[in-house]
Amino acid sequence: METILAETKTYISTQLLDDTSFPLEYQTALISSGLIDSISTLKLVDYLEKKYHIEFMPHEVDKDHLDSIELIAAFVQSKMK
Amino acid sequence: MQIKHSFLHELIEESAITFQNHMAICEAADKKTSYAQLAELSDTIYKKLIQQAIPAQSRIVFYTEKSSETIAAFIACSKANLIYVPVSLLNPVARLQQIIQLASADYICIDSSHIALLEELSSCYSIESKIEITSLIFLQIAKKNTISITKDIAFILFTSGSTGLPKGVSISHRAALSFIEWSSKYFALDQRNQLLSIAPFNFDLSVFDIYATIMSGACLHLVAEQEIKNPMLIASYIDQAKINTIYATPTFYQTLLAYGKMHKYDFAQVKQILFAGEVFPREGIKQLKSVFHQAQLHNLYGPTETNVCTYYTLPASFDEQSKDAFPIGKACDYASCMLIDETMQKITAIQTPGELLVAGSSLFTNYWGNDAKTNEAFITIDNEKYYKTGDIAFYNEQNELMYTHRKDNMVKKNGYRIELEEITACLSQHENIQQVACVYLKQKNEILCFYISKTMEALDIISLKTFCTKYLPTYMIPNKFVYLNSFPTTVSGKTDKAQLVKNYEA
Repeated sequence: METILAETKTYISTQLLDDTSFPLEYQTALISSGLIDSISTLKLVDYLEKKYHIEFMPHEVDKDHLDSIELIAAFVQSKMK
Repeated sequence: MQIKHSFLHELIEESAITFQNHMAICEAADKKTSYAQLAELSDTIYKKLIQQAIPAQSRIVFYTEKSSETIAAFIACSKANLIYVPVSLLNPVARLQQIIQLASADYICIDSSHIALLEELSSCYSIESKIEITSLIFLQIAKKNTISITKDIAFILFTSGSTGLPKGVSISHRAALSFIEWSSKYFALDQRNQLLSIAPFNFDLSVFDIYATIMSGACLHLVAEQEIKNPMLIASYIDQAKINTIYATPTFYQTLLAYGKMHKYDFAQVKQILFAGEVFPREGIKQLKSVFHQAQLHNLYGPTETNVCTYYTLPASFDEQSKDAFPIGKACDYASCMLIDETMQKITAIQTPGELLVAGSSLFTNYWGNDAKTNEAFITIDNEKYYKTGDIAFYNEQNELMYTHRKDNMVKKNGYRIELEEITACLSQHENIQQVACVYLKQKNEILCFYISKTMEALDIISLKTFCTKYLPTYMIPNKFVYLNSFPTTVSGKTDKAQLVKNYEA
């Protein structure tokens, strides 16, 4: 779990926000705050699928599952089981 | 070109007789509306509306979900000689209010399920009356406007404006019907066509979706606007609902191809792919063609002010190695195009760029409530009124029009038309922003916002983005915010945007 949290945080900071100085927390709202847009959300899903060999169902690509690093890690872990 | 109809509602009146029980609209949860039902629904709304004795050409702003009720209400407006003004729910309420004011609207229509919105609007406007019809609520927000207008305007589409406020493009019945009649014939639409509505109703692409469908007895599929942003859902929907005709922007298709997991489906049923709004890179078209392997591809061109005015159907096979863009083609039957040079002389020679002018019956009537802007937009040559598109084009060796670039600062990002001044005007209202300048980086497809803060330190990105979401549609929100102590200036003392970008990239 810790690894997923850390790796996801690094990916979002460096690849999506392009700004490592941003104080990104595990609880920071990503989608509902407007921090990452719809294209970035899709990039994130693509990254998670490849990195953890999981597959998102179409209806799972939404803020219920992706709005914070914490939510993402929990969801990814549930998929990996 | 002879235009057969005079008003948009004639289309449903005819189709209700010809296609009766054939499905006109399919929505979520298996909700289906036949042609007869759509005509009846529209008639119910029409009767309620005329009971209110609303003066002709009054404006009704629609801030509703895409639904059969919304479409029926558009048709009812046509029949009652009222102007409908669609505003997508992807726009924040603050922008809706700007549009209500700019359109000097008499009514606003919302879905009765949006209770919170109803409360919000009730606190902003004094509601003169409230009419509930089917799943819609019409709120009368002004005493009957008496502005007398003798034009036959059917709807107003608000687009980004260079003055910092949205700009209303008024479209007459005749202008809309010119395109609708031509397109349903050219694309040979009939009862077998299943269309998927991608564009929000405040974009001109939706005029094809709604009315070319109705005219030809086809079926229009509506999905929630949020779902359009989910390519996996859309790809699976295209497959399951056997969608065979799609009209969208190149950005939409490219996102679909990149993230829709297209390899899971065959898509052999898709017969026609239409695109407009921006240049489609050839590489993307190659991919599009391999996924929708049975489809004919059409490149359409035209600003909101003219709707589609040129078209180009791609050949079944083309040089895949070439890097050249495809032509925007030749003028539609109802339009005529002309290129002029800087001295206003007509260009006939090939390979010579000039501004594209468009004349014909599809031209918009005016910018709502802005005569000065309207007059600036037109030019009369040989007794023919032309719209100055601001687009630079040239004729290729086949005498087809080739688009090259914009003449002014208007930005086309992901197929959306954006005036950076509108973003600047929005952020200037932020309590902690002293000065702001926005630029578009074409290479990265990003809007950068440079700002100087009143607190003399960088502002929180989330609070800036949240501020923007309150006032701007999502596609206009800057991708990056850059804090600066001061802005470079040009010799004349203006903000030097070129230098801003240079410093940023350095």
